[in-house]
Amino acid sequence: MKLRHAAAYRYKTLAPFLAAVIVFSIIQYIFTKPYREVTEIDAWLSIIKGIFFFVFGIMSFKKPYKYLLQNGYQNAGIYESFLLSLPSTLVVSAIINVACYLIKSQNDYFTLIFADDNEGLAVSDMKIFLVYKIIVCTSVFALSMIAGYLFAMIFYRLDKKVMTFLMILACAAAIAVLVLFTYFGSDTGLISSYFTPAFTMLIIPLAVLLASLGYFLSERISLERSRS
Amino acid sequence: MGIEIKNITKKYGKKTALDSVSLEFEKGKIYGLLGRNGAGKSTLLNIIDGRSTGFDGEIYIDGEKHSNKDRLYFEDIFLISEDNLYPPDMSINEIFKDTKKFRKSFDAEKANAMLEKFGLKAKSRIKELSTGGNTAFKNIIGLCINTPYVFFDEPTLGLDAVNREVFYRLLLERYSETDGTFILTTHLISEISNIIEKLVIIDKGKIILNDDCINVLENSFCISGDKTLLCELTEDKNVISKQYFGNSASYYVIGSEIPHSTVTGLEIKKLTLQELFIKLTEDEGRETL
Repeated sequence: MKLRHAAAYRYKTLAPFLAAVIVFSIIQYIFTKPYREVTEIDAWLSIIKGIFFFVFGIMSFKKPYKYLLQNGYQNAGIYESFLLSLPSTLVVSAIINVACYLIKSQNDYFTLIFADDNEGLAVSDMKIFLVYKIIVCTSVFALSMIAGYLFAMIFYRLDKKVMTFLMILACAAAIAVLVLFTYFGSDTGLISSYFTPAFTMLIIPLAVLLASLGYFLSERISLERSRS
Repeated sequence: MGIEIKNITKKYGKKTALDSVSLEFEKGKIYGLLGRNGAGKSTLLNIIDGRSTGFDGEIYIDGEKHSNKDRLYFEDIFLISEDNLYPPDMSINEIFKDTKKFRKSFDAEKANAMLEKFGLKAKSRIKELSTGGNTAFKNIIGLCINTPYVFFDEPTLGLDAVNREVFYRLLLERYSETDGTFILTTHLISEISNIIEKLVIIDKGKIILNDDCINVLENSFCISGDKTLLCELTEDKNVISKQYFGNSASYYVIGSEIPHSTVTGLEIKKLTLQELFIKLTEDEGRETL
C-alpha cells in the first residue's frame, strides 16, 4: 500500500515526459519512410530515444527521491516504488511509439517489416506483431531508464572524481557505439537485426538483473566507503 | 522505551562526523540537541531516521533494532530537516494532501488551520515562500503528525520573533496532548532554554553533555574575583573555562552546587544556557569534562 502511494506520486511527475515522448514519436513519424528501409535517421532517432529514456531514468531518481525520503521512505522503498511505476510508464510510451508507425503505415510497409522481423510468427498475425513491437520498445526503454536511475543513484553516493572519470569513459564508449552503428550498421540493418524475438525476451530479465545488481552494488560501495 | 543509540560512528571520507556516540532519548520528553556548525547534529538525526546509512553502531527504537525495521518505509520517526526536500512547484495544500496519504496520522485539517497563525496560504507554492515561510510550513507538518518521535532540525531558521513564539507555543500544546518525543536543534539557545527538558550538547562528533536541562543550569555558574582565591575555591570543581583580567579571573564551573558568596570580593552568577553552551564548545580556554 505504501509503495503504491509512492508510485502514484511518481506518475504525477510523468506528464512532461509523456509529452516529450509524443513529440519524439511525431518527429520519428515525419522522418520515417513509408517502406522498409533502415536509414541513418532511423538509427539516430532510436539512439536519441535511448538517451532520452536514460535521462528520464536519471530524473526519476533525482526529482522524487527527496520528497519520498521526507515522507519516510527508505532507500529500498524509493527504489521499489520506481520499479513499480515502470511497467505502466513504459508500456504507454511504447504504445505511443508504435502507434506513430501505425498511423504512417501502408500495407506494403508492414507486410515487409513483418516478414523481416517475425522469424517464425504467422505472417498474417498483425496483432501478435504489434504486441511484439510494443514489448521490444518497452524492453529497450526499460533498460535505458533503469540504467539512468542506477547511474544517478551511484553518482549520488560515489566520490565525484571517480564518477566524473566513469562519465568520460561512458561518453567515449557511447561515441564508439554511435560510430559503429552509423558507419557499419545502418546499411546491413545491424540495429534491427538485434531486435529478434529471442533477444527481446532476454532483455527484460537482463534489465531486472542489472537493476538489482546495480542497487546492491551501490549500497555496498556506500558501506565500504564509510568503513574505510 | 525510547531511542537507544550505541557507539554510532559515521565518517565522510577522512572526516569523522560522529565518533562513538551513545545516548538515549526517553519517551515523552522534549530534547534540545545543541552543537556548533558541523558538530554532527543533523548527521545524528539523519542516521536515526534511516536517511543516512553506512555507519557503525546500533540503534534501537522502542527496544527493536533499527535494522530489523521495515526496510521500505519507516513511520516511527518524522524528521523535519533543515534542507527543504519538498518539490518547489507543489503548493502547500497539495503537500498536505500527499502527506495525509503517506502518513495516516497527519491531521490535515489542523495543519490548514495553523497556516493562518504563521501568515501562510494553502495555495502558495513552495518556491514562492520565503526562508521563514518554508520553515513555518514544514514545522506545521511536524506539529500535526502523530508519530512517536518528531525531530525538528533548525525549526527557527528564518522565522521572525513572532512566528518563533507561535511555534514554541504550538509545540508545547502538542507536547501536552501526546506522549511523543520531540527533539529540537537550534542555534537560538536562549529561546529554547524554557522549553526543553533534556539537554544534549554535541561537539566535533562527540557528546559532551547529556542531562536534565534544569539540573545542568542549577549547577552551572560563573565565579569572578581574585584569581588566587578562585584557584583555591575551585580546586575540586569542574572548571570548563577560565578568563583572566590581570590579577582577576572568571571561572566557569559546571556540575557543582552554586556556593554561597560568603567570601568577599567574589561575584557569583548562574550561567544561562547560551553562556554554558559557548563555554563548553569554544575552542579557546575550554576544559574537558
